[in-house]
Amino acid sequence: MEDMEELNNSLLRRTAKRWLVFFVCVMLLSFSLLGYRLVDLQVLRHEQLRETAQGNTIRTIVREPRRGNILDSRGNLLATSLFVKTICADPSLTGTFQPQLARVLAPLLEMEEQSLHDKLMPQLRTNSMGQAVTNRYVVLKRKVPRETWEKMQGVLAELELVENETGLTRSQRTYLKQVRKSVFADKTEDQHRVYPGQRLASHVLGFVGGTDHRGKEGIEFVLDSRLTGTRGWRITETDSRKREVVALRHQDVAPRNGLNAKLTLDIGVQHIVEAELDKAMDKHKPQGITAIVVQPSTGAIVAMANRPDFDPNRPGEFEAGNRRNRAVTDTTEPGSTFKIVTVAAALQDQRVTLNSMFDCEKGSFIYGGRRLRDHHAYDKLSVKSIITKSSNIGSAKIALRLGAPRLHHYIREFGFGDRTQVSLPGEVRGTVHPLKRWNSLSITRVPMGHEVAATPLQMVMMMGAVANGGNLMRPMLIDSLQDESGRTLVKYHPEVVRRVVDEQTALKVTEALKTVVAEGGTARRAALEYYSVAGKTGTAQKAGRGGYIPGKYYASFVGFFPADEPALCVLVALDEPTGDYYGGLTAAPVFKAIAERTASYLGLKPDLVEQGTLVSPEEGQ
Amino acid sequence: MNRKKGNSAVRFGPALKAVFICLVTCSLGLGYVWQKQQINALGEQIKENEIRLEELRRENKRRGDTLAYLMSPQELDSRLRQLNLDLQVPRPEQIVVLQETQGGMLAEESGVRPLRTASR
Repeated sequence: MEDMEELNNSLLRRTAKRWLVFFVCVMLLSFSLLGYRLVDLQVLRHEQLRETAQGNTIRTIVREPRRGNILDSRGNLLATSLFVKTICADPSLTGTFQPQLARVLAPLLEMEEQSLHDKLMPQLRTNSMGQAVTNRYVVLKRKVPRETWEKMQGVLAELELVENETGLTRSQRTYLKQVRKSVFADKTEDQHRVYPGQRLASHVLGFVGGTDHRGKEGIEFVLDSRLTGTRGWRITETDSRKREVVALRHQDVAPRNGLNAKLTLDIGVQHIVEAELDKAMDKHKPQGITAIVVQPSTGAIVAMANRPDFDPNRPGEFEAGNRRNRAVTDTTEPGSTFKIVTVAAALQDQRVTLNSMFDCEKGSFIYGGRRLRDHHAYDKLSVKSIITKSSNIGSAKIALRLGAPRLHHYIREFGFGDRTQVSLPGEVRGTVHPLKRWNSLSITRVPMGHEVAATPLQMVMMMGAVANGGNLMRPMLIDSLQDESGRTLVKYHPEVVRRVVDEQTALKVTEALKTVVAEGGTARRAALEYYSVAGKTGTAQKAGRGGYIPGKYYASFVGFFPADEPALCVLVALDEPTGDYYGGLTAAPVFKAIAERTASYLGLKPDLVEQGTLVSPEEGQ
Repeated sequence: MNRKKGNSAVRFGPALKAVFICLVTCSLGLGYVWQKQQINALGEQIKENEIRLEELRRENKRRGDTLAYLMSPQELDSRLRQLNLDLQVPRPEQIVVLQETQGGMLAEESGVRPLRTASR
């Protein structure tokens, strides 16, 4: 009996031992498999799985810099940028709800409902693998303001796609949620350039364009790299609900916003100039008008405007011709305004004095076999009167006394035939033929502004040199570059290009130019009530392929005031005015209107009239 | 007698040590979790503040732009026309020069530019 019990116990122990061995083996095998799996996941497929894991959690966010502002000399905003959204859709998620989505979103996106509907419809195409696929990304509209996107989000959240949505199953509700999410804003921020002044100074400012938001014209183009700024980025991790885990940010580099550009323009003067140009456009109906206001002592451009113009907020809606800055891109024969160069040169070389007399041949002078005429039959005129009356024959005779080489030298010295180096794109040199290409008539034609071509900017800078005591300044349009906080990083200073004539000569020329707006001068209509003016009219017949075009004129007036202490130099030029075409009748009144309003706006001290009574503080009280 | 000698007596030292170690370990664990939770909470606060800051900046910018628009010469001109205020630019003879004194000196003597103002 005991043997039997011992046998049973022995069998049980053996069975238990077997089971134990079996379980141990199973456990060992399991652990081995787990170990292998561990090695497989952690070592063998480490790189691949790490990339997958990081792809699920790590996000790289590009942080766009804001394009810098453009400001006028007083800090008024001329151009700024707003962050906007690009609204996109995943048509594969829209199901059959395109009509509902289009109906509620079209008014917000300011789009045609049908066009929006078409964009939301899935399009089938065959990919490179030969599989039929649906488009999953379509841009509905670019440059949508944030406020509009926020409204869209509200509308989408409340959109009733089906009746009694609460009674649907969970999967159906999830599907509708996806439909609502089918319209989304692209994560990459876009910018929209805004010009609060609309057309104001459009040719100077230029505009930005393209999806990359780069400057295309004007200051926007010239300072593009400075205005653009530098991108930043953020590498961070997100949780399962795609929310950023701030504690797990790996890199966070803030973007460096673009610099603000402060210009020398004054928005008030610019507005005055543009308002007067609009009036002149209505009155004279020319092909175009250009006006430039410059500070002679610094070369700072206070205003620059052209007509026709454009709105930089929507440049595509205007013809290319409207976007052209005629002040620097167009050249014409300047006409009589060029006589200033001839007289200044002759005075500087001491070939004449203001009182030197010239026989103006009673209005008809034959030289080189060709007849040169004056508008009036003048007998003998002094150099000063030649300027006052704008005698062609007189100026030709001054040039003959000066000689072609010296005249050519001074023309180049005044900056003609070279770019002024203004900070604007598309500037042209103008035309000054080399001396060897001058023919026998050139010496009588060039002095009155024929056979040369200049831009309006070159003309105003030449006059500025006379006003500035003979120093030719480089035109200055950018005053400084500032960071976001308004700290000046780069300051531009006035730059003297060269001294063209000495101060005494400049004063003599000014004395002659003052008579132009006086009794008997060609520009009585440019005279100001409270300020002395020195200026010169120009009326040039326009040249075409076959010579001068009858009935087409370029009328201009360029002058400065107060004549003895010049504060501003103003050029007004009308291209093909209808009706009156003389510079003294068309451009001079525009000059007067601009000068009067600008002087008052800037508070310039009058030199022809006493101001109101001088009172002491006690009397004032 | 043996108990007094302590050979087989209940020893509290090791037990206390064990409890202490457990407490320290638990505290460290809880502290770690609490710290992690604090980090997450602070991270969320940072995120909220960043969003708020961005919104404020955007609002500030929007108001600045509106101000720039309202101060633009065209807008001022159109408002003047709308309100029919009949404002005109003063003529020089309407401008009265007030002398600013500096230590009893007249403006011209002190080299200070006279203050100019307009009268109608």
